[in-house]
Amino acid sequence: MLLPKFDYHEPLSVDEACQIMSDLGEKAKPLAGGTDLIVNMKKKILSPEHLVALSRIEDLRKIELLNGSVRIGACVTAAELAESQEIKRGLGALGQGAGILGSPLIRNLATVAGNLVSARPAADLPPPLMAYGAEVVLKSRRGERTLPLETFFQGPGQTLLEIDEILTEIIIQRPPESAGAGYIKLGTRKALEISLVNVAAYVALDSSGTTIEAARVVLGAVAPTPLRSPSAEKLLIGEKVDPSLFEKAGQAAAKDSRPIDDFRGSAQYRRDMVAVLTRRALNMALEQARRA
Amino acid sequence: MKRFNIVGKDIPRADGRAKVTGTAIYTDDIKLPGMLYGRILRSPLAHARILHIDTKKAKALPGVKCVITGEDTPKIKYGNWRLFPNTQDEYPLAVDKVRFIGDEVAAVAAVDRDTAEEALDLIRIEYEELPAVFDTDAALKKGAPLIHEASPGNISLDRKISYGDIKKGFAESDYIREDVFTVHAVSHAYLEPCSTVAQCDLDGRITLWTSTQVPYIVQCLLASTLGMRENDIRVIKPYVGGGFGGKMEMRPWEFCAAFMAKKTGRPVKFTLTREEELATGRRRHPMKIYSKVGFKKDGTLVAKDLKIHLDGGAYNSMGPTATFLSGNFGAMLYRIPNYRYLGQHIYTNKPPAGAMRGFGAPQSLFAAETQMNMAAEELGIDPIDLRIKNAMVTGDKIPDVATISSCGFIESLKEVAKMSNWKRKRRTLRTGRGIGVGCYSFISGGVFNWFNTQYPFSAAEVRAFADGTVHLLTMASDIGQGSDTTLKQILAEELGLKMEDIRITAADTAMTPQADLGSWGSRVTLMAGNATLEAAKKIKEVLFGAISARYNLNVIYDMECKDGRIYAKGRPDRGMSFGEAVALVQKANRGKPLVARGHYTPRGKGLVTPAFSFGAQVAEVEVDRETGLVEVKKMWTAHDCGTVINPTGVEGQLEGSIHMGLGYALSEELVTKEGKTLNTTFLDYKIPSALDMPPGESICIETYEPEGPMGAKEAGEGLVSPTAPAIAEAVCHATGYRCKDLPITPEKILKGLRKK
Repeated sequence: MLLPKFDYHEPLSVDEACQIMSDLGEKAKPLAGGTDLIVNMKKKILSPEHLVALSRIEDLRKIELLNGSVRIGACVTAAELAESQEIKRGLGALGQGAGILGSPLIRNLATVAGNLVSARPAADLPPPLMAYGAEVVLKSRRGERTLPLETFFQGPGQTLLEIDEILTEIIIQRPPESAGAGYIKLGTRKALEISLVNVAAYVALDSSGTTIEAARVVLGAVAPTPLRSPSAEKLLIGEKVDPSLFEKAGQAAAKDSRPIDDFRGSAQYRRDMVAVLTRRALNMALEQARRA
Repeated sequence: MKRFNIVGKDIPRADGRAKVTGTAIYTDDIKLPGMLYGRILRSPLAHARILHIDTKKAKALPGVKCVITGEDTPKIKYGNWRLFPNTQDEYPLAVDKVRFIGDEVAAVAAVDRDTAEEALDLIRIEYEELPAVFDTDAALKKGAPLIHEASPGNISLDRKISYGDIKKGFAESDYIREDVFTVHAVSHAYLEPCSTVAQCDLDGRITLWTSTQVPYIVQCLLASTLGMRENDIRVIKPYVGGGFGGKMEMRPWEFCAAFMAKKTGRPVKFTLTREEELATGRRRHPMKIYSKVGFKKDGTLVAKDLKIHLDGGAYNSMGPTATFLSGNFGAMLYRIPNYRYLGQHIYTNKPPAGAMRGFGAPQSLFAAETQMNMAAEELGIDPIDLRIKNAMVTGDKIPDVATISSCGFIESLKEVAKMSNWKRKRRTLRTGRGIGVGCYSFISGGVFNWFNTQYPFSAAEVRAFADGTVHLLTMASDIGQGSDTTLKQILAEELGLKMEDIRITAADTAMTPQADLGSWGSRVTLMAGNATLEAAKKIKEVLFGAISARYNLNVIYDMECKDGRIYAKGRPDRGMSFGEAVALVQKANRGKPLVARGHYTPRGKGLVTPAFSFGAQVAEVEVDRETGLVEVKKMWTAHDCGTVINPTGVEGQLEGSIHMGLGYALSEELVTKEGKTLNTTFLDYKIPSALDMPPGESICIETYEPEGPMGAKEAGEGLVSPTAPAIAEAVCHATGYRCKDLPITPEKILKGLRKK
């Protein structure tokens, strides 16, 4: 497992990083935690000639509250996310996802942006982020654009990120008090696990606390990208909360999923688990929404 | 029972501090001046003829010092079963043919690892691909591709055991059941990947530092494959990070390192990657187990007919021993008057299976114990009661096979039932929760001399000094199990010394007495322990004689070695310190050092082992009936390992066994597709994490094993067997799903529940 030779850049600002990316084009890759990139370089799946390390750019390491939104810098680690009070308050499902990603060693290095741009179908952060309606900010010399995260993923390892762009932050609108979300990851181990299936669910209740005003159900590891389940969401929105509703939503989500057979598990099992996990995640979300 | 001073105490491990502080030197830590780094080129095909190998480009790469293929080597086959040369089926580097994906074809030594790796890509090999077989059924089919020309039908060997009258036994049975079980391949997953460093001196002698369980076997087989004399090779075992059976043979990188060190005159190191270990390494035998048992209505076992197909992969490795032991453990726990076993070791085009903790017992006992649980259910007898009814007891004999000289099995069963609140829980646990039992018996070393050594199975030398210290020299190999500590305890106990009075030099074939067959089959405590004890006793006798003469003692006096002093029993004033006594003996002998040798070779103990351990384990699980996930809530274990030498050591072995058994039952599996191992990282090869480990309670049933040192027998290996059948039974108790094919995956559970 030989690491190919490469040049190493250490810009101190986003602008400088963008300049380097613009100059080097496809020869360069941004490096954050490296838990995915370096491994893939050793396996010779990727062999960039230049790595542009983002670790010394202070702006990318912050979690900030601004006008009702939470802005998470690209280089915030999974461990920091899992511990952050800002995240725990109102964005608990994201904290859960971050807290169960990989192992403690990996969480100390792996970053939120890395977990998105690597675009693995089973990644832990996309489902809770999508459930909260997160957006991503992409910057380059050419300018800046903001995209809904759910449109960002194109396939395994593929995103809308252009060659010269850097994902600099994630923006989440703080959910209302009457909302809640849950994230569940299914694997055979309690730690150091890759999801067989994961599901994040978000519900917001109306002022009476009985009717679902908004809902998002996001499925992971059951399609080439993390997937929203339109059928489940449609079924939920505007309905009164009752146990059979979540059961039906689970069934609908299972129908929306497009899992494959592999040595980790069969498509049939994964589809069945989407139904179970969706129901359970919705219950978690509901419980949280009601607690508020 | 005898009172001990040091034996039976929680003595901290001899190697603990060095390992915890990172100062322990493992093989890969060794760096010698001018050392080259080796890498191995492996076959990408499961079965192929080698037509042509071109190493020109690799040799031309700057930094590459040596490239070898099978053609450069003496082409001498090897294998551990050298008593039967026809079982020796492996070349250090492939000659003519490759037989599995990962088969070693060529080796490179270069100035650094990266260059060696780069050179591998430059070796061109032309193969003619051959049809391949990937499971035992396919390998046994008429007209199946032949993997070794010398083994028609792909059966490399078979083993038979038979006693009683099997026909009559089944005729007399009221209840007969037949089942087929399958078990899967798992990895040893030792934390330290295989590593070796070879150095050749100007006289052509080799020194090899290597991560091994068997320095003596490596020394001998390295000599035979290199065409050298055994004593021109010195094998040293540094600290080893686990073996579990995976390091009990000479391996190709050991040969290549020595061969290339000789060729280049420079030291050569090989260290395998984790991917290599998981993709191509030895593994536990997958098996297909056909088992038929007959009982009387009252639960008395009458007959058992067992047939096992072992999926050996491409070479024999330690398969012959596993083939025999699987059959032995099919009938070790219970009195079965009529028994027949046929084990067939079958070649397939997969990485070879070898020895792995339990050595055939985990597979065989999963089947035997599951079948016992199924029989209990149908006979309407409590599973623990059914076992007690049929359990082996001290003094039981299997004619010409085994003598049980100590056995705490029934006590273990009773104790584990009490600890776990078995009877109540079997009746009252809520749906989704379940409790199950599994049992084991295991060997304390093997008695059969397949290695054909002319030396004792174990040897020890004790040197005593006038400063009150002693030096223990033994070839026994501590691979992390703690045997150095155990042997020091035995010696300190016998000589009445403290642990810090003892220096140990172990596992160096040029410095320690010939021989020791290594750390496997749970043999070290009993065999090396006995050898150490014998040497200590000889030292003691000499010292007693000297004191007796010095104080003009009446010959009827008993003597004692205790707290660093040697004296007449009951008359502590008539004696002196250990060191003074040694000085006295040396003076009397005009300077001759006080040295004694001890050795042990089992004799007259049947075909299997000098002593058997026994035990019973109960698992409680909770099953999520929607996802099929199993959570093991608690494990209770009661086991008989004879005299406990080091309680913490035994506890560590028990916890490690449960951890390994848990993985075997629920999550670990080397998945292969057409001979290619698919999960080659610890992300996808799922060893249970610390969070998955259940809490446990355990108790040692103390017996006194007459054949063991101070009454001790094995504690490290047998315990890995009961966990899978106990968990499988608990899952069945919780859900009604009966697993007959390991591992117990969530999908299998859900499918099983749907069928109901």
